[in-house]
Amino acid sequence: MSSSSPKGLSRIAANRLHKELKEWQMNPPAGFKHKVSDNLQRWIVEVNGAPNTLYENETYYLQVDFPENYPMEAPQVIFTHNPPLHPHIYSNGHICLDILYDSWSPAMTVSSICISILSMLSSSTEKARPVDNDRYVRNCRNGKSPKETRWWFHDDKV
Amino acid sequence: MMVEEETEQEVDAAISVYGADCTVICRFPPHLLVRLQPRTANDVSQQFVEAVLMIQANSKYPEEPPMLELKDTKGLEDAKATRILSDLRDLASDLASNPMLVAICEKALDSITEMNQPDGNCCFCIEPLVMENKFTIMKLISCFHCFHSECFIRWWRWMLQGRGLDVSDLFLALQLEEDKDSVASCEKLLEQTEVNCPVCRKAIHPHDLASVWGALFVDNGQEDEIVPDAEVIFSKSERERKAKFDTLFKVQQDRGGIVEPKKLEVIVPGMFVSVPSTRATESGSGLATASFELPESSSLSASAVECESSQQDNILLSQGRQHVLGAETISDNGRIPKSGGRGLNQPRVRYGRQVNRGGTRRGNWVRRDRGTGLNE
Ligand SMILES: [Zn+2]
Ligand SMILES: [Zn+2]
Repeated sequence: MSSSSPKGLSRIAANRLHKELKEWQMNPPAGFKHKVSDNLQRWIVEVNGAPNTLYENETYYLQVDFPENYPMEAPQVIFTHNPPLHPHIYSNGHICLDILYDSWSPAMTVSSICISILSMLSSSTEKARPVDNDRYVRNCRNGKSPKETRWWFHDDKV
Repeated sequence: MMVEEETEQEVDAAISVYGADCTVICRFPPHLLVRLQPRTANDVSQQFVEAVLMIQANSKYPEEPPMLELKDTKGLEDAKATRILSDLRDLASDLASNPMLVAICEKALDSITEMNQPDGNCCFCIEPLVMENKFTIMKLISCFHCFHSECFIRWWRWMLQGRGLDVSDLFLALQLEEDKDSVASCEKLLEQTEVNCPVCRKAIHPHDLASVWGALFVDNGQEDEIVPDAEVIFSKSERERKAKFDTLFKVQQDRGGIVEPKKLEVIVPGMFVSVPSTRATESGSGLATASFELPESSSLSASAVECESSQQDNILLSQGRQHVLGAETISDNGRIPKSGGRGLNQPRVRYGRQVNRGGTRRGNWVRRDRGTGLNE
């Protein structure tokens, strides 16, 4: 009995992630590095702030966790360590970005998510936490996933 | 003046050749829009590309070749559209000083006909759409985005589930109306479900669902076996639902057998059937059945055996797909379990089919721990 599927991923999800990883290795999105590991279900991605933006020369880390039913279901994407100061990024690393939640489509990939996140960073005009940061973070204290949050997306410019 | 007259004759010629596909914005200098469809387009199900060719000349036509653009392209990758255009521009400069409108259109139609095949990857599995004998392909009518039918259906069912809709309830509701017109049924279905194209988010048209009508409900009742979607099929609620369905199915059958597996044979239109499969063992390629860890016959459940004899042929014939049907029942400790029993060590039955993934051989019977999703 072969068991090449990592624990917790459906065969379909594992096949798809193998594909994405291969594609990423051949053609990584500019500004991102996948930290090599043998864990297909959790990717750690290094993000480098784009030149001529507020985040130039800064490095951040995204943690991407894939559900069993990926890509039907969106991955969970958060910043780890020191999340960038951004009006849509909470100090616990949660990101308010519609494609990660309501607007997810299986046609999206880790690569396309990364590009959206970088463009969200790049278009920021101030380094600040969301106004409701403290309340939100307090609410998530017992390890709540951002996917359980009911997000309001009211700003598509930043 | 001679030139102008000749040119207008050229425009008239284009109108008579392309009829309604040709829109004349200006007769002189000629400014035309010509709808390009592959020459096989009277069979809608076999059309995967489409575009509009804009020809805009200035008053120095035909000394100076007209400006050419492709608009509203569907199903054409950018690289292909660019190639068509550059070929057309070459032709136009070769024909400078000669009548060229119809010649350009003809060349464009040739190119589009030549490129009439589903392009790129299926967005769900990121495998090429066209794989030798592997998948049937479906195309959405409004945007021409294509998917493996199987991938699309799995997603559609997932969407319904997420909306708390029960596929078999929907199916029965539609069946009980004894509506023979699947497009009308799909219209009703879409009214309730509102599903958009995963790529461009355009609304899905009833015809799109109708094209896979036979397969949409296929894992209800007796045909679970061909949808390798274990997580949906074998959840507790799904088992209960299936039991309920089986009862109703029986009633239906007794009343005159409305639901037949043969439904699969009516997958039209929009269904692309790839070249009929040749048995893998003949080709000696990486498809050799021997490379797959098919279960010993002793571990085949009764239902799988039944399914092989009664349905496999139907499916193979009707869809030209290469299916290897079967089921295995294993427990977490790798032994063949007794039936019954729930909980963590609950025996799982899995179904699948033979998939050859570009060179690497991967057995189909990959064990999967029924792990928890992130939200558990
Ligand atoms: Zn696919
Ligand atoms: Zn589309």
